[in-house]
Amino acid sequence: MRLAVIVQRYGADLNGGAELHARYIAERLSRHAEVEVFTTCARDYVSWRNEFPPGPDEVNGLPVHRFPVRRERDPREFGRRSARVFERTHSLADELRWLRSEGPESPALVRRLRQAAPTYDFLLFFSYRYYHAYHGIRAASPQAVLVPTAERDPALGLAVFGPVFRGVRALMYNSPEERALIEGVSANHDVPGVVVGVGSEIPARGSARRFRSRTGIRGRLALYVGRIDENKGCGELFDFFQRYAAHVSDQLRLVLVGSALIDVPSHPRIHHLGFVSDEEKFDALAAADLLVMPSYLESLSMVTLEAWAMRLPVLVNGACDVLRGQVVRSNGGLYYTSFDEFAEALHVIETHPDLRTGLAANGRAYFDRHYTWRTIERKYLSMLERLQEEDRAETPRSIERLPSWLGRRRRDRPPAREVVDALPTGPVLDPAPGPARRGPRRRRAGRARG
Amino acid sequence: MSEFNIHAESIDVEQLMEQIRARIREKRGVDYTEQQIRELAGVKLERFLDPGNVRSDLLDHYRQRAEEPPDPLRVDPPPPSVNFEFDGDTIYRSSRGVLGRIIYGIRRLLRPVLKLFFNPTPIVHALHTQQRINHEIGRQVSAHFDWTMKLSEQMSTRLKARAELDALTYELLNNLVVEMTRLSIDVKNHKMQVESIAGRLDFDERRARALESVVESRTRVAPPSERDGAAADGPVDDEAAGPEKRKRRRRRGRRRTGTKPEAAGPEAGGTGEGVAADPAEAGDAGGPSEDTPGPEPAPAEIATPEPPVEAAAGGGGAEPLPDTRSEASGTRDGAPDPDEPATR
Repeated sequence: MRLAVIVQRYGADLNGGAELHARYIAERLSRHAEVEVFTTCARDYVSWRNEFPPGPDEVNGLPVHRFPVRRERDPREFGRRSARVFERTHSLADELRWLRSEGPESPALVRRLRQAAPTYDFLLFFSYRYYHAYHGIRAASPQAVLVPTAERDPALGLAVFGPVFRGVRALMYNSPEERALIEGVSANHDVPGVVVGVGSEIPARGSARRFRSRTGIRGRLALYVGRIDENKGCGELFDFFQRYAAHVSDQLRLVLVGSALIDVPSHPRIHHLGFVSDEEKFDALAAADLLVMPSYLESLSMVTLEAWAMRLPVLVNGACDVLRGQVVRSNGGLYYTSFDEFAEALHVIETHPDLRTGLAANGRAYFDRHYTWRTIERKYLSMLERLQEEDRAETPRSIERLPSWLGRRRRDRPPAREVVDALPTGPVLDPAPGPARRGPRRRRAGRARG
Repeated sequence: MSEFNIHAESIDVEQLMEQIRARIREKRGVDYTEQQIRELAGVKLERFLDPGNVRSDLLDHYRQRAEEPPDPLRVDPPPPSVNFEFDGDTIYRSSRGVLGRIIYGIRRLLRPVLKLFFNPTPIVHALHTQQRINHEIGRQVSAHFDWTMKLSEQMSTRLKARAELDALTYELLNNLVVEMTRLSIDVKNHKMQVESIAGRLDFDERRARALESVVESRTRVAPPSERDGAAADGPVDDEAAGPEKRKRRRRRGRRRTGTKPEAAGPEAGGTGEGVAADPAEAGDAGGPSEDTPGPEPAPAEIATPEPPVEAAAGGGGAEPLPDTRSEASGTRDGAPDPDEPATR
């Protein structure tokens, strides 16, 4: 089987969620199939500046084809176009212009995909919202399999993506919540789909002692791993933790791992370690008592899965449907939607070792059940084999065509934010097992907030 | 939080979250300690030096401000607006000074030629009509603008009055909340006092009945001379029963389960009088606990070791009994009771 993985950036040292996801999947599938990677020359996901040389490359033994980005992103233009399509009634042409301004605009990559698509069995596209995925899928829809990595953000409500979700051969979802969102926005119930997610390279054991001797941090630890950003809920986390430290616990420390885009408060019990290696990250996970994940938007939190793999309970932001759904389904952590809940839940985890052990054991069992590489590979391969069977039985469908020139300029598309706001919220509590469950699933009505 | 009910072997996150929410509701409701209530009230009432000191004329002031009728709206006629001038020659004029006048002359000369190509009269008429329409609209806009300005001034005045009224309302409500908090604490304390007194009364009644039955039985059994001797030796025999018995009685102080020490308040558990000097208090200390009501004790078991007079005088080696007030309200000051057994 010949597979192509198409992603906006690719490199051994790139740690973005979807990019890392794509690299892990490509490297794992290369054990079972011939895999090549198509990507851009960009390294920075904000500017899409060409930093890698164009042409063939190799990353961890996999052949990589890099194509230049035609123009860097203009943040002002992108902001203006985002405001138009997210907040106002607009046209399809406005959405296409928004997509171009978002980037990474690489017509050479799309041309190459159009030419090379027949030579591959399947093309795995990562991240639905970027230029490469939209135009690449339009160019090679009969072989396109999409890993959408979608979150509840307004881009999901854009009308241009509906045909993409309905026109691919299959969708590999990260979570039942993501699947429900995409099915809700595009009504693609008849497209094969499976909730897969991604595994992680878990070391045999992390060393808590090594972490403590390296950092000098003692006592009970709550750990946060990821970009320290307002969008990730870190501002709220700092506020909550400082109040918690002042009024509830005089023992627990908060350790932050990751590069900071906002100021980390100067507090005797908040420690920022910056960007660290994987070994140091897993040492920190081994030393911690729990992982805190305050993000509002996640399609799949890999670090949460890694925490469970390392037998660590988690405390997550209940405002994020995906995270809340994960902890409820796994019984591997608690969630919060207010400071009161944060303080009570954190205190309960901190002061009840039995509960910590129980949550951690549940999390590990959930990880073993759904997110080991063996399970992930099996789900991918069985889906691809199933699609091959379908290829033999019937002619693959083609993607819906774009409206006419005039149709694309008709201002009849509702604001994307309104579309997304109208989608059901809350975690999916009873995802049906099986690789291609279809039809609407029962959702919890509304979001419970404290 | 320490009372959290957790079964680690069968964890259900939603159930745990329910417990957490119930706990939060409980804390937000009546389960605040006095200190927490005062802290909360203190945060919201920083402006008030003495929140309990409610202004006597506040309600009258409030009512008076609430009943003041709003001012009626008055709108004066707006001034006429400015409009551009337009007449039949406007389209031929030029604004270039002397040159303009020459151009204007040429245009007038060529006007008949122009009329061969089209008729400018309807255009002139339409523009003239438009001028009048503009004038009328400008007048209305000006009127509306003025009216809006006046309205905003009146609204501003009303909002100012409203803000003053809101401040009074806020003050009133906050004072009421603080008073209510204070009263609820008082009610709680009074409830505890009533329970304490009822318990003591109950015990006193039982002790009186027991003493009566002892006296009655001794009167029936012993001859008068022996009876006197027995009465004299009685306390000594009880002392001989050992310190263990006395210690056991002292342990059985009243303790209300589920009552927080902070909530008990300074008045909880009695009047604060010295127990060793008060026979009734001494008896209370040795009495049965309210929490463990049992069968009526036998007369010999509950008989007071020392007669009240001896206990009051300190004779017969009687030890001073522990302060039952401390026992009734737990370790109110945070110090452990030295007589508190480890198993309790």
